[in-house]
Amino acid sequence: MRSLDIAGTGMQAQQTNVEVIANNIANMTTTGFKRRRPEFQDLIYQDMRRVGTMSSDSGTLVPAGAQVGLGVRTAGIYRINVQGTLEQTNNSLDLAIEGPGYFQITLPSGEYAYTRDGTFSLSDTGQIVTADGYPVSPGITVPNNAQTITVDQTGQVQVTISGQTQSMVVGQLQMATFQNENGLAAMGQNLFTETQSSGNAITGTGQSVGFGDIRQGYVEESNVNVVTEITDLITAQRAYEMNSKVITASDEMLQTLTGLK
Amino acid sequence: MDNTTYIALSRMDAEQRAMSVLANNIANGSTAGFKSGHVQFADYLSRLKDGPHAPGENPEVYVQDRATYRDFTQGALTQTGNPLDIAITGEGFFSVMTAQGVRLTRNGRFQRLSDGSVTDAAGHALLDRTGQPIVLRPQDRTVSIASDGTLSTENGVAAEIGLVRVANNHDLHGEGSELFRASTPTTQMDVKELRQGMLEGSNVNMMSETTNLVELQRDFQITANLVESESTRRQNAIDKLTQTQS
Repeated sequence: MRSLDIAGTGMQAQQTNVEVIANNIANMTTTGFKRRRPEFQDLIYQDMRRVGTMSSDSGTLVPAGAQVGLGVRTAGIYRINVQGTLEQTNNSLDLAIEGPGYFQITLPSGEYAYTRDGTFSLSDTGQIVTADGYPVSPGITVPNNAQTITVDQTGQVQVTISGQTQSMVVGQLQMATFQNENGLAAMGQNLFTETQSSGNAITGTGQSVGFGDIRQGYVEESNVNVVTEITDLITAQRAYEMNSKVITASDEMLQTLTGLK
Repeated sequence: MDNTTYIALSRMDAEQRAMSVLANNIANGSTAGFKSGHVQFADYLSRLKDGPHAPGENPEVYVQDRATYRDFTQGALTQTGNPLDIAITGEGFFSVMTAQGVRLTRNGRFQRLSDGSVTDAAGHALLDRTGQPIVLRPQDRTVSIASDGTLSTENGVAAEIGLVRVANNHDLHGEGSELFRASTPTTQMDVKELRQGMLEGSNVNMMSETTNLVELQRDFQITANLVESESTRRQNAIDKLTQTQS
């Protein structure tokens, strides 16, 4: 019975839906996390009677065909790149991007990764690194006798050194944007890598055209909205239930059929 | 077997297909832009070989699921915040270019590819009013879409999203992946009602699908009972006849 398989695809889709929601809720306090949403598409249709064909018994054109769709599939899981709220931390190396753009990070392999998570700290050698110890790219080293670190909205890093009245520029944070942000591949640890579909990184600095402002002393919270997730979860659960009802009903129909004599 | 059983079986056969259509609706309850399908049943008159029926003669009637049709009523809108999510709040379809030609869709989830083209989830380019793919320039950052389909960026108007109307929505042939093929010519619409940052959800009405499901299931059972009691009746008749004989 086709309806058994069709409802099966429906249950699978809702399962994916719940998994995505679970991941969103699990990451609701992850800095810079963007919520995901699955996108579903109907599967191909099987023609029982094709539109526009000649009807065999009366010789007239069939005005509407009989098509049976074969279910649903997950077409993709998209990130919703809406800005998360900025939370003040007063930590001088907590940086948030207000607007578009990603920080550029160098991975141990030498490749670049991109992140919205600006909770940076200093390594033992004074380099500005992510929570996992990956340095920002290009690397910025803060002298160990620096008293204060100031990052302006463009991402320029200045330090003041005790005994000196003038502050000193030690580097410039680089940011990147992409033609297709959704084409970035998530690699976990709040990091993304570019792919063919994201296009090459367009680099720039904060506040320039197409880039957001860098805010020192803030972190960007996840953009997960618990209320939305809970309502989505309920909807997904009900949809799952409905599909399983179709399976039960189809099964009972089959049972009736096999019981016929 | 006699005709009573055949007629009942024709009904059960049609109901099984109706169940598939219903299952497909429920499976696509969260598919953006999905339009629910319904089955139209028809009596099927058995034709006599020697021409039309004589007056007073009762033709036997079989059930046939004549056609499936789609319910094109508006689905509920949900806010997504994605700048290239576009919902149509009235008539019309987006047109996209596939390898097989132009296809229509109500699924307004579009994205921008690395070459600047605006496409659906499968990478089919969204077409403008003149039937040309919409391509954004690298310097275009903020996309805003007016309700009349004008797509503008900080660099001015970039494109006008085309919306087409089909003379008869029932001429649309579902091809899966939210795409329809029109078998009749389409016309560009002048008045459009678009909403940026929103998506049109599936228009499947879970309430009516549930009642249909229960109804269909019971109907199937009743028809099966009919087949069974007919079989018992015939068995009894045979038994009685053979008893008289002996």
